[in-house]
Amino acid sequence: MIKLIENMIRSAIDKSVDKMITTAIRDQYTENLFEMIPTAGKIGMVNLMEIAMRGNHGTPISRPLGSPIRLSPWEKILFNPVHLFRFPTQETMGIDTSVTIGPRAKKPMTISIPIMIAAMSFGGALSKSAKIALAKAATAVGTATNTGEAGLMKEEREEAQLLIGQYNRGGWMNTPDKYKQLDAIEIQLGQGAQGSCHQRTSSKNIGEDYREVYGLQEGEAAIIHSRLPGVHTKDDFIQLVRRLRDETGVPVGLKIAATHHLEKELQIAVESGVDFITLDGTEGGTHGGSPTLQDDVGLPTLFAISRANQFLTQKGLVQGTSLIATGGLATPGQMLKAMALGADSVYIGTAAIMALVGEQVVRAVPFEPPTSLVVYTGKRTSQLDVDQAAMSLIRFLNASLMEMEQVAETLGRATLSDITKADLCVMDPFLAKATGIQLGYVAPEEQSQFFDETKPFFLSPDHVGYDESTIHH
Amino acid sequence: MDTSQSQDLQDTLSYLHNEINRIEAIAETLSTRARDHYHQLTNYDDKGLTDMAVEEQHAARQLATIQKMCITMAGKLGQLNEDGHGDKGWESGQVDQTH
Repeated sequence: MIKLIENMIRSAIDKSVDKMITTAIRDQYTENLFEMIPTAGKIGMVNLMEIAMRGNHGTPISRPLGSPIRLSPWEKILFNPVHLFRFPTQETMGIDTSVTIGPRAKKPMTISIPIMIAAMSFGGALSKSAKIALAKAATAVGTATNTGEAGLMKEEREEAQLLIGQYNRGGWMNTPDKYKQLDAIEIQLGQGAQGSCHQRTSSKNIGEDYREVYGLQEGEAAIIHSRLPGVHTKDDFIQLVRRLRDETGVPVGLKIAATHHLEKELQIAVESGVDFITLDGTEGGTHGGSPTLQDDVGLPTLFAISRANQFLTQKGLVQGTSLIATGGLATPGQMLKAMALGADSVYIGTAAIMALVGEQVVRAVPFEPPTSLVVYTGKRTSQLDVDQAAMSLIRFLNASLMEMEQVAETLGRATLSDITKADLCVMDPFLAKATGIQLGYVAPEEQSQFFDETKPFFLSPDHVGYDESTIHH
Repeated sequence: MDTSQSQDLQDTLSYLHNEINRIEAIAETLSTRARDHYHQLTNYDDKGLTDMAVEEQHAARQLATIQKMCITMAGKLGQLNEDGHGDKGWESGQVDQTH
């Protein structure tokens, strides 16, 4: 009987496919459903759907988790294992993975692993149970989690041994009763997926627990302004950093979206005396943001970190000012490469959320996306098992750390923070030139000769009459 | 600060320095032990034991962090002693070191 039904289904499929192919071949191309294939190829499937969404909504659409475009060419960078010239680290020796954030602060923050949980706010992004699961996992592995642009949530503070709070553009963490409870303060002026643009959460998406943490009235929207309240000049910012450092003693840092104006921004940051700088590359995630801000604004994480490291090195501040990389770092290899380029530690957001959801994804799919288990407005948040979610993230972090330790071992390094650009080579001459990593095509002693002989290929825009004035007009 | 108070402070600093050195040594031992446990627990094809192994590995890293923090704190205490007395004090061997 089953065989008979199977044969009938096969026959029906066969006839339908034959008819579809014949129709596609015979019909006028302009009347043919097949036109969708080249159209999707021309515009892209994501863009095609987002055009339809814009046409439906009429307001900027809110894409979750950041841009699908990956502009940091991490895959072109490789680590250099050693055998005899320097010996690999013995496997019996533990690799030191700890990092101190803000060593110049009165109360520096030491974390056991160089991976921290990125800023993802309760309410604006995640549900309370997701925030608690992140905090539990972070505490179990000896690292810090970040409040995101929110107020201070009591439950998160209780679960997180080390909590970085964002002094934010909504103003919800900006009073001493809140920021004095933090282990580090990150002044949030922007993020990779949003630049410094304002954001607004409509009151219809704000529940009672959200209002309580943010101090909002019923019916009031949550607004993240484009500027930090009270900071309208460079001096305002400098005074703020100094005041927060004096009042709290904990590391005080700055988070910005990576930008081509990076060095100008960093100059003001170092003048203020910040203890750490967080750079969020254009690949950075978000709970939801407009595709244009995500895809067309900012600077890729790889170049942001490389340039910031060069800037801090030139200023002689590389030891005292911690550099934190974030934005699209999904694999242990990418995280470790960011560290080799100069980051002291990294934040992970999307990867942490995916690890957190882990096996529980089956509770959402196929009718809801996996994120419906963790986002504040998700339909399945009540189904997230907090302890199971925390354990999934703990396992992910251990696996990631062990993979990073394996690389350190083969590089002959005893600590992750000892891994530098000298442990890398790159498979692209322009990338080599820009980042200062040696080019893998030629031997180390032939690098200068290679670049001398190929100089015409590396003319800067200045040599072809491309200055800032032409950019503005 | 009179001589007696100064001596009390030096004794306290010395005590803290010795204890921090002890904590550092204990953390090192426990860290090594926890790493060994990881290898032993992953010998079995059991999800529960593997999760314990993962937690042991994280414990090993945190103990290594405690060790590093102790070294930093011991250094700061040594500096405090030097600043307070203008000499090496117990840092130069006046007080027995744990190791």
